[in-house]
Amino acid sequence: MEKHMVVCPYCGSGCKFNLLVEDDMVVGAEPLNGLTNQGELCLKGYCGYDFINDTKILTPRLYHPMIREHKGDPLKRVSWDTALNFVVDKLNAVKEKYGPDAIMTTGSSRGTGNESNLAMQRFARACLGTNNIDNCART
Amino acid sequence: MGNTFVIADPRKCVGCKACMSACLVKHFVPGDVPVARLNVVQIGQYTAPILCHHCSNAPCAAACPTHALYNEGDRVAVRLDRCIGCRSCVVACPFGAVDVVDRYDTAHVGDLKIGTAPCAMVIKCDRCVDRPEGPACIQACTSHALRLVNQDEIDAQRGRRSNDAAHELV
Amino acid sequence: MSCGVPGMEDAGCIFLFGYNPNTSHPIVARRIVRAKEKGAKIIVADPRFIETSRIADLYLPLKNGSNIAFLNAFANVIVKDGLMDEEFVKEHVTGFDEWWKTIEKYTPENTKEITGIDPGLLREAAHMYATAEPSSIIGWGMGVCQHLQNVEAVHTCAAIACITHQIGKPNSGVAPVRGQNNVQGACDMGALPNFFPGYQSVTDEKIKEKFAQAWHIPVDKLSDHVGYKVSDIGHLIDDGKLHAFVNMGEDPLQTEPDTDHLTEQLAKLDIFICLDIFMTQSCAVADVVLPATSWGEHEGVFTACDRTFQYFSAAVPPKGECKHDWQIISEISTRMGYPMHYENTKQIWDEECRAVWPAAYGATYEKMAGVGYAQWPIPTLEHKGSPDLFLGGKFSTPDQKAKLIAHDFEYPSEMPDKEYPLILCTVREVGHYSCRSMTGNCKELSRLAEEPGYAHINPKDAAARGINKEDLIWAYSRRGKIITRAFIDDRVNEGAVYMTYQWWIGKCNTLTLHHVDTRSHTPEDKFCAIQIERIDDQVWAEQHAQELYMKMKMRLSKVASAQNEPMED
Repeated sequence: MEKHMVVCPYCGSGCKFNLLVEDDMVVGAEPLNGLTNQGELCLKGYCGYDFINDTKILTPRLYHPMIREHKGDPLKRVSWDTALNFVVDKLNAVKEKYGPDAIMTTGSSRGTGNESNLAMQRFARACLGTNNIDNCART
Repeated sequence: MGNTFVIADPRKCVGCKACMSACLVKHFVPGDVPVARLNVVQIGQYTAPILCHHCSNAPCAAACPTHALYNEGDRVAVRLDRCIGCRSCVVACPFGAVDVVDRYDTAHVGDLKIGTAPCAMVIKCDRCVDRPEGPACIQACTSHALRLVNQDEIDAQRGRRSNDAAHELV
Repeated sequence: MSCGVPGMEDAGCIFLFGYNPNTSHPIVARRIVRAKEKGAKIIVADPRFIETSRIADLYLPLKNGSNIAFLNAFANVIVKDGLMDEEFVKEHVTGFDEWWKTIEKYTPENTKEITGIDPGLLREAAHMYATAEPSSIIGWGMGVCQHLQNVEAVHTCAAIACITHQIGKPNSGVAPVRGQNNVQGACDMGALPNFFPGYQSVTDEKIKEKFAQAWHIPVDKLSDHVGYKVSDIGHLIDDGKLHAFVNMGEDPLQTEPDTDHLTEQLAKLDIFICLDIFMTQSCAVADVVLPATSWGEHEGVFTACDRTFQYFSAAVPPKGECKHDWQIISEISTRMGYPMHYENTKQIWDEECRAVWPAAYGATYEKMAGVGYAQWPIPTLEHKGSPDLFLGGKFSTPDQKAKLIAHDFEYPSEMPDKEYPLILCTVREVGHYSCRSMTGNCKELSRLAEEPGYAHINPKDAAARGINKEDLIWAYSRRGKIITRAFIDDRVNEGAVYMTYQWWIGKCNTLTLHHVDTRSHTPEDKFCAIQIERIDDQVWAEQHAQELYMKMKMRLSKVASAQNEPMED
């Protein structure tokens, strides 16, 4: 069994623990002596890793890019290349027609981590040219 | 002699339900019933899990017509396969610590699976006797509100209290 | 937070105001129990008899929506009863006279009608807080923030800490404990419309110059004004101002108020792009769905509520064609003509955070290895990090002094009336998190609490409507109607209903009011008028709720199944 050190993705306490991994499946959580949690975990830390394994209890995980080519169409699977080009064409068109402030972006205050937020705000500000970036700190 | 059981200190309990999740993890295995054996009660001034006291003269075991509940050593044990779901134990338990729930079992006719049918099953703390680290709830408690008490500890506490009472009287 | 979580144990007094740590942060709640054991005084002001009330020295059951009246009267007592630290105020605080002109008007007696608090009890609490040794901490949560007068309440809490010198020394000050694991981090990293990383203003020319240089662009390419807030997207779409939305890992259709209306608004966008790990309700209506790696499949740094940076590793490899969020963003940017390329998260951290934010320069990946951490401000490589802010009364203002700001009390936007006589206040469920896309997919957590969730109701309000324990009930407001289950709870005040916000069937954000305050644009989720009613046919209701839930699950699963189809191109 492998052990990988993580910080809990739920509340803002910042508890540290090991994820126990067998055959690329996360099978357990084991508290570590982190600054705030000191070897303790609440129920979300203790049982909150399951979703990684795609249990499909509530909603399925996403594995492939999908686009809706025209409004009203169903989503369909496409290659990364197609999806990214679609995104770029649409964003360029909006930027061209309405200016950069017609595009809103969000960071994420959840599992993605600080680095993705850094990348997103640089994208919004330096590439798009807007300060329209926010996160769900308000809800 | 007295039995050994898990007891909660409501002054320390923060109501976080880590104990319930740990209990559920322990029982979330094939052949068992995935329901927490303890229940955090939050009423008025009281917050703490209520769970089986493993009574020496257990009313649940006495009421059970099939010996699905029975005294074994210093605890009240459960044998799921004997339970007929009559709920006599639920009625008998003075702590509300025993429940009967539906378990969904796959019914078989020979090798043929014929879907799932609800089957009533008794749910009660088994004190994690098959768990080398001891009760999962105690290990998971974030505020050290849960502990195992046995006859020695109860005797010691009784001794302390009678001494305190004696001091009060002097 | 101006103090660290571990330091809470060593405070002399903890005053919880609109914050229920036991359900939102059990691991912080544990510190409060320990503080109590070490001799700290505990004060709780909350309309509900929350868990911590049980161990509180004083419990003040203030009325819902009366925060500013309460806090103003609290501050008034401190000044009038001579509990103010005059020397500290003289040296480190400005604006007292102007502030006092407002606060002077609010006494425990003349606010009693609004707050419902006995003046003697309020005085006792103010004395306990102001005189506690060696320090006091005010902790607040969404009970302050999701009200109409939220920024006002934060100003007043901070003012109370300043005038009593219960800030600016170890283990003291203000503790707004953050709800989501990395909300502090997202804000630190500049995912805010007014700040670059490290709270550096987007309208400051010098700062703009610095970032333009770091990003290799001319400074005039950077926007010269503050951007939009995510809680305003609905209105902005209606006004024709917003045409594209790049949404990373949020589910606005679950978490934002008045969701029925928002669904219609999102449909009007030219393009709606979601980067997510799950098929959420928002992804289901998006034009582009990009699969990202989940926590557990990528590494990075989170910031805890007390400004502690901590590194987390990847436990398992990415699934399917999932890419890291930062990879997806970089690729879009590069294709749009602005090349962005990173080898790994460490490179992003060093280049985009440490290099441009002086207070984080000392937070290296090396320091965060294992159970290591780095608490900002941490300006040098030798620096050990800062559990406490504002030590010695040095505040983060140009003159290093705290500026007092006072506000008059206003009633909430939608007061209860004859038709909708109850107050709905949205709260948290200990075993679930945010929009539930993560916890709802965990087998144990979904067993412990499932649809349609509970509405906690005072026994008297339940009895008046013939509602029994576990009954399914209708809950409705001017905006919508949902099914939920009754939890008759003697800890809940009369006239108020408390619901948690992650359910699909019992979705309380169908009922909430989309009224955001003018400063922070935070929705008023803690106060709107509703009515509840027992459903006569309970058997039908159980079946209906179950069917509705299955239908919603099937819908998302069906939308997601498109990804399993063979590709055309």
